[in-house]
Amino acid sequence: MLRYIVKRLLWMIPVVIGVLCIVFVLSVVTPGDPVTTLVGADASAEAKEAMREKLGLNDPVYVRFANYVIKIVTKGDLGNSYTSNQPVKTEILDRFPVTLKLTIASVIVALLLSVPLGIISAVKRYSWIDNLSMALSLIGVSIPQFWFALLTLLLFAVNLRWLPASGISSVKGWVLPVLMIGVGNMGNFARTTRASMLEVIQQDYIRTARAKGQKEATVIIKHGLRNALIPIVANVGNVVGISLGGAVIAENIFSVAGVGKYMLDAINSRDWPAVQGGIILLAIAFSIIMLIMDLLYAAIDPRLKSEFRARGRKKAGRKLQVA
Amino acid sequence: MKKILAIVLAAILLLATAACSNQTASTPTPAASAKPAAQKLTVAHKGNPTSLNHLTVSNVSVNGPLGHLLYDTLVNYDSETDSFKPSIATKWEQIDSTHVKFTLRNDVKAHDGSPIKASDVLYTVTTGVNSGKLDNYYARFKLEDCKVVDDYTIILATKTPDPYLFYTIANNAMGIVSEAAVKKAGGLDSQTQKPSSGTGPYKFVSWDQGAKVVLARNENYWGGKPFFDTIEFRIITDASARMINLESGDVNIVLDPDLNQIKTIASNKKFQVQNFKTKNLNMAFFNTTKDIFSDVKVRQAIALALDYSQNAKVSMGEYGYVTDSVLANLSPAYAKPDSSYTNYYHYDLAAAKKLLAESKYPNGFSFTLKYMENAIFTSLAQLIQNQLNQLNIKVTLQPTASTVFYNDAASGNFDMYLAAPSNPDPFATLIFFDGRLTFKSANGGSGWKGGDQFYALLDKAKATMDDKARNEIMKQLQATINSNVPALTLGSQNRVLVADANLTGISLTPFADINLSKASRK
Amino acid sequence: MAKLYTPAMAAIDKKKARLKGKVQKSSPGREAWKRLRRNKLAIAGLVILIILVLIAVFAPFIAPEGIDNQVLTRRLQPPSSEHIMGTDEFGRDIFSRIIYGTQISFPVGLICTVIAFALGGVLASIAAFKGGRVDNVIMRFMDIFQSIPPLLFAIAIAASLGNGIVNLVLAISLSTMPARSRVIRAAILTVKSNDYIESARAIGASSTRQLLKYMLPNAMGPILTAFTFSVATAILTVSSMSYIGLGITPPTPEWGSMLSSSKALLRTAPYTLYFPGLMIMITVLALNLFGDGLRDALDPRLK
Repeated sequence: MLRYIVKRLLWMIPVVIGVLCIVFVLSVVTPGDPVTTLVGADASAEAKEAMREKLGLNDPVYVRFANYVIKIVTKGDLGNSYTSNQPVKTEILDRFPVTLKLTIASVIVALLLSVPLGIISAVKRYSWIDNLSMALSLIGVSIPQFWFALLTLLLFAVNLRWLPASGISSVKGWVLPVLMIGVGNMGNFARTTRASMLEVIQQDYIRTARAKGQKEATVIIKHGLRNALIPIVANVGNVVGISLGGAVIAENIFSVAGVGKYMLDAINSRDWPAVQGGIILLAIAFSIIMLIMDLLYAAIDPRLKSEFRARGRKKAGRKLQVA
Repeated sequence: MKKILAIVLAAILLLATAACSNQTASTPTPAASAKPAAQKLTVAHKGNPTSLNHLTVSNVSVNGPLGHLLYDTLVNYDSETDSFKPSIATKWEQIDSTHVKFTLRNDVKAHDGSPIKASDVLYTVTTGVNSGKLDNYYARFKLEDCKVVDDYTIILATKTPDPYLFYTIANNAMGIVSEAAVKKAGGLDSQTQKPSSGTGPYKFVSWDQGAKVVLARNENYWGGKPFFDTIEFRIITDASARMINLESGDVNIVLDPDLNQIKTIASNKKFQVQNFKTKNLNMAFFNTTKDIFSDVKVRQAIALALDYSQNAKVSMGEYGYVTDSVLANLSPAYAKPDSSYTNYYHYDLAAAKKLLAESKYPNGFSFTLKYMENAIFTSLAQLIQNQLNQLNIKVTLQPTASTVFYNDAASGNFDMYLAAPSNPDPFATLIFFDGRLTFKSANGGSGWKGGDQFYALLDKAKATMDDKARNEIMKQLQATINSNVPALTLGSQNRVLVADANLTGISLTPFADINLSKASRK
Repeated sequence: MAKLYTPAMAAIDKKKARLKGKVQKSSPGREAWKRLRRNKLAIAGLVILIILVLIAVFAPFIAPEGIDNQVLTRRLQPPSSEHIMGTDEFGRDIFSRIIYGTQISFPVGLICTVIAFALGGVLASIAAFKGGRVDNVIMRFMDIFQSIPPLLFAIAIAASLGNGIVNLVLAISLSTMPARSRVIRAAILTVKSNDYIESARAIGASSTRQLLKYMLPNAMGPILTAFTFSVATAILTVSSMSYIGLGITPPTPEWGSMLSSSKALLRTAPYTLYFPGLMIMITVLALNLFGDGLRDALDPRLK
């Protein structure tokens, strides 16, 4: 087990270097002059040139990349933001907890709301509640997140005034962003739960349990749910990744000061140190979450051998990558 | 079938909520009861500041409204009368065309307690000149001639005669910084996050990155007790969300509201709309070094094909005005076009078609329009695109990121671009028409060559300190530019804010930023 | 979402069919189509999709006006008999723009997915077929790409390349490609272990021939299902990116970009908000319905 964890953690090194390469290439092919952001559009040509020299932008690409990587490895220095001239690392770490909390809250809320719904749907198959919940889940996975956000904003913040329109300074403020990020996941989870529950219910061991005269609720929860949850847990990691993307849009619509908003602002002003820093951090966070999920997966499904874990994750992961 | 029914039902449910929300829109529920305490002002602000000290970064509009609370300038600008009032400087005297002597108050202290003296003014100017990031404001000073006369007297010198110098001096970018305070805090960079070197009516308390900046009253303010205990800038990037927060009572002022949404609030007695006319001008610059736009008839035809009053209305609503010259109507050098020359900034499609038929491109052509995305430019661009169709001119729109945009403008890599010069100094606009400069040295422009006679006039205007004589020359300059159409004038945008009805004392800075330093409640 | 991906039923069907000696009469495709036809929801989805395609083809005849018919005197009119969806901030008929929007959103989503599957497919085929180290290297590269959240990745690519439809397609295709290649690889791997591939190998069919003739066709089931869902996702991504201003430039009536300009009108003209979003939802819903049906038809155990 420990060996597996260490191996997975070590694997993050090439991942981070790979991500670094990708983002660095993106920053190099981007047209425009980052110096403009730093010294202002009205600065003199000399001031711009001096800044370019100071940032090392006149060096060949490979030198810049080497310098960038060396700085990260030796000092953990992600460089300074072009717009604020502050260290990117602190700016991002300041904002990261908000994004993480928002993402995790939305995944948890989605699980809590949709898994029971999926179970009921599966148990009461073809009943009105099944039909309604499946219709709602289908709409959930089909509705554009930002459109859903705008509609709920219009209804709950503008017209009914129940919830604040922006910020998460109060508990109420969390409701709309969490719902927005979670709306697609809810549909997804409910549908997955129902399908895997249906599959599990038809298995022999459930029939055996029933035949032994156990209570229906016990059968469903003890034998059914545990097995039905496996595909969901396998997917939670990927869902978190997708939700991190969703958080970018949610933070912008609801003016939440998280990494997503920071990054979109940075992308709009082509503030590449900030973009690079943000993506690297999110990639690391994502990898760690995946690791945790894999371990959890192994804990829930003891049948899986440790060597099989990595593959099992990926296989299961496919489903939501597509969704 | 049951399932299809369920989906249809669910969809209807969804739409019904949306539709129902539409109905309730007409009967607004009373705002949340949580009214902020009387002494606190909460401002909905469009973005996270890049710095709380104007000397450390290039000037950007998100920093403006905060800067005026944290720092004082030598003189104050009165936007109502377009004149200047004493501030840190009690009086000033134009020694000659390039030297001004300022006499300072002797009771001004920075937020950390350091007294402000003439040396601090010199420190501010020196830092600004040397930073290279603020050339728009500081490049005009001739450092070696600026000198401290005594503790409370300083002479500032400019490289050339500078009739509009005071607009710059009264602007946030020239807020006075205490050298002692900067040293005490460990250098200028420390001021970016935790400013202590300003003398303004409010001082820094905390900055929650990306979320809010909190300021508190400066109890030792030299200009009397500031009204609010605290001022909180809440960073809400979405314009709709800023407005919603005002209605819900979460904020008291919305800066940069979405112009489309002001209407909904205008009838509500609880709120007021403050609508300041400005000298800002939306312009479209032709690249006259490109073959298509080197033909003056093409440019004139395009100018005549645009519906100026409709365009102003669509892009700015009630919050802007139509313009007819390359200087805004409020500009101190504006001259109303008269019959002494032909002006093309009006809608006359027949004349436009006729001119184009006489030009090098009678059958139309296509070009690319670059602009940085904001609500006004996005709508102006689409209007231009649509209206030039009438001349069979196809316009490709290219919204461009600022880094790319400025670079393209400064290297002449464009056909036409949209910009909104906000510098009140008319010469800062005329620089774009000075054909002796390159795109690079003017940071854009139209590459139009006005000829030696035009340049001589331009130089003469700059050297003329007498307002009346100078305005006479400015009139001739505008006539030449307006009849040659190297750029289009697309209306002047007002500075608008929406606030609680009982707020008062809000004014504009010379660069048309909102100035809340004297704000109070009735 | 239920299992998209299970051992390809098609393969099993084929084996059964071969055993019974009636390969011609009940090909797996035909069987699946039979099952699909019985699924009312899937047919409803298909019908909606066909209607959308018809609208796109006949848009000039359906739409009362062009896409950029600005009439500044009739700005922001609420829905009426004259303009059933109202007019936008430039006085353009929203209904006409919605109609022409069918020519943008669906095809763009489709193209993004085709490119992602084509690129991913080539890599996946190589990986799955060669196996061993090649597989490992390719899949580790995919891991790296996949450690960036897809939407964020697409945004970063689009920001780097600049606005425009081509760049948008590139951004979405590239950012989704790794996930798509995994689907294809898994599908091929499942098929690869089947007997008839073994026998094909035994009789000495060339690698390419094995891949093209036996593996890909038999792996098609799950790939097709995944493809349908991917188009749905791509449409959502295109609209999200246009909404945040990194997508298609005006005056193209892409539904997401129509929403980005109506965001500011949330309070004064909420009707500008309803219809573009609704159209996106309907399109995606239809694709999901059809995808569900396709999946169930290809894997009947789930029903």
